[in-house]
Amino acid sequence: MNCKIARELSDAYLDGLLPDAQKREFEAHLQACPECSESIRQMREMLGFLSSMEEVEVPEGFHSRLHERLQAIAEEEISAASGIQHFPLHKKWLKWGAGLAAAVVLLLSVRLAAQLDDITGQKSTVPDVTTEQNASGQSAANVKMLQKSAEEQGNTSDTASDSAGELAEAPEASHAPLTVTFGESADKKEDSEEAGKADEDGIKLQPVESDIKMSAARTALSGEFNLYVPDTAIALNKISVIAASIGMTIKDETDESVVLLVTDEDQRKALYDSLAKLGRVEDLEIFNEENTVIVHVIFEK
Amino acid sequence: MSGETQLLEMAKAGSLPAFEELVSAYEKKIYNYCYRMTNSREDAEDLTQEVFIKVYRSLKTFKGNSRLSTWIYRIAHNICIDKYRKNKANVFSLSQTRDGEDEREIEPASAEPTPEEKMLARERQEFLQKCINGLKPEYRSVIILRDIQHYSYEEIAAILDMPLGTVKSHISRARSALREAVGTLL
Repeated sequence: MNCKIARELSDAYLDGLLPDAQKREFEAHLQACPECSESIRQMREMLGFLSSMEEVEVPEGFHSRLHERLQAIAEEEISAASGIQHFPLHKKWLKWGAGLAAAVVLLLSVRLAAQLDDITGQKSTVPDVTTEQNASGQSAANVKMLQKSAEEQGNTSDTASDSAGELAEAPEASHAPLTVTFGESADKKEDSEEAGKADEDGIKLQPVESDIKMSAARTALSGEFNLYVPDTAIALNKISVIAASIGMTIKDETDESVVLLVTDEDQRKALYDSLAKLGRVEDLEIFNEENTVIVHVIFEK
Repeated sequence: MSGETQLLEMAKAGSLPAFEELVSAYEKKIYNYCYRMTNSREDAEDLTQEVFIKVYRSLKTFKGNSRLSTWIYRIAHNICIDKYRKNKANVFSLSQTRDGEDEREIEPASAEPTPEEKMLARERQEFLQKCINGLKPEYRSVIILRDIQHYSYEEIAAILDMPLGTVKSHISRARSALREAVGTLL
């Protein structure tokens, strides 16, 4: 064995990993080579010192500090999970509700158009569902409201679109080209295919105005946020101050969350901006009772 | 081990007490690993807490393909390396040690376990620790795992997620670098 090979094998030798025959050969080389022998001696000494390095104890209070942080995370996860739990249900009902309401509006529009034809004896165009809204009342408002909510969650209103597709046969039966207002779904990429299909069938989608929008806006004002801050107690105090400064009413308050009443979009925006200054804000995209915003304050270093 | 499996399942299901009991078996090793990697007790605590928080957050994704200890060590290693990259400027410089007056005053150890000898042993440990901190983090890590905490080459390969051959060459180079850093001062 020469010095080069001995150097290559030295770690395996020191770790006791050399097979017996190779070990004997290695040791024979050490006997013959003072340089390699000294190198191994020094290395062994260093490894001895490393091996005897004492373990240090975990500092006092380590457990309680860790426990506090883990507890905060556990609570945060529970609150996030509870959000997720009612989210799909909410989404499902939105889809179903939007579909049903859309079907009602379409059906009533078609019938109204047919009646108008009967009265006037000529083909007519229903320009806007606002006419319909007087008859169908809140249900028309719900269409827009639910439609908007569903879209805000990135959800294509399949049921509603399907209903529109099915009902598209109706105008042909009454020989009336029909214009039906259907929220902002035409703006959505996901809906473009359905909108195109509707166009072929003589149905054009246009935005709804006035009262419907106001009702939708009231729901859109609601929401749920997670606010991540290093000190939850301070943040909760600051939220109270913020609410007072922008004229918001605190409906409810716990150690971890605040329920606020929002009156308009500006107020909601002011709240969001102020929260963003306190820490990281996560919009859970959950809609609550009208005008109600829930802020969960969560510890994050 | 079955106790650990049971605790693991309970922790995965969301039991914080089970999690805390589960990781308590590793905290001293991980704390020491972080301490040797940083040479700072304060940083070691911060890092160890960060490790266990990350373990807690990621526990649901732990499939059991590796041993729990290996997985926790790997998280610790990654966190220490990240910390090193963020604080490169604060890393102990080897040249400072080699030129430092204090270190030059350290005398070779004798066989007598006198109070002076104990003090000397402590100083030697501190000096060695400083030399370890002068190594690049990959080498530091293998020295700590192999020569201080006595993990096998295979375990180190699993922790560092490296081929066995790379671990062997890292250990060899790390020891040579450390030996050179220590010089004749031990």
